Amino acid sequence: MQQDASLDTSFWNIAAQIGVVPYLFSFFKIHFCEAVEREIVTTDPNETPLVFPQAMLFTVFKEDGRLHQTEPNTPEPKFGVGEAHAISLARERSWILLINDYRPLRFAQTLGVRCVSVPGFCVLLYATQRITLAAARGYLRRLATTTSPRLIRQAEASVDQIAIERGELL
Amino acid sequence: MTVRMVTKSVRFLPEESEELANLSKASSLSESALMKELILEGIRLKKLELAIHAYMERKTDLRGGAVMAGISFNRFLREIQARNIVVLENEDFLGELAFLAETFDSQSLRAAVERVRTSDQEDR
Repeated sequence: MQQDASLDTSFWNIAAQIGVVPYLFSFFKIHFCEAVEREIVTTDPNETPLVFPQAMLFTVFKEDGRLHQTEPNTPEPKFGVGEAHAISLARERSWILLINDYRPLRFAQTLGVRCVSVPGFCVLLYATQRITLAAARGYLRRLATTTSPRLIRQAEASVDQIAIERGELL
Repeated sequence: MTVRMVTKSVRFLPEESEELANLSKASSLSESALMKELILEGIRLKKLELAIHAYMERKTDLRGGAVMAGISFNRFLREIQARNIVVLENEDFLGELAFLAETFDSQSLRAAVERVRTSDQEDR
């Protein structure tokens, strides 16, 4: 069953880079705020003709009706506009927050918001048999350069435990 | 609307001045135009450097860093990734996985988290 989730730019961009965005819709009904959309689709003035792949992907899924625009009633005054809206939306509606940036993630956790990061989502994909062991390991490897070593080690260990249980790993 | 330009003066050592003159000739730009180009590029790089430093010290987040650097979120994230700077830490990552296991009723994930948690505690 799909869970309602508020999307933060940090999650979308990194999930898009490693290629797991299409799997999101099997698990989550994704809501975005206008501020988040603006961050995802905006390029620098000197790069105007560029369209980042994550921005293109966002536009395609939005036109496809899989991304739902929802605004919070009272955006959190802390942090930047996108985060403030994404965190507040999750908090106000008791939704999951999809986020992949350390500081706002910690802040959201202190507010009692349940957060899901890209590595966590990759482990879920393997646990629910959406992807192979090799794919799960490949995704986590791609995240390793910008994710804390301890978190990656725990993610890999979890994947390995599931693989051992399934007999895919000795 | 007319923009009022501001003059800033800089004092160079003779060898620095000569180097600037040589660069000016080589790039077919007046010394003044070249200096302006170099300073603007320097400002851009300095802002980016300060923003990256602030991000590394966890004084700001990706969004705040982008604002400090005067660039888009996407561009700042690329700069951070190019330098292999950690964007994600979560002291309770196993808690996140346990939450996912409960939410999506995954027995195998639930069991895996328990085993990793036990193994982590034994390692300490």
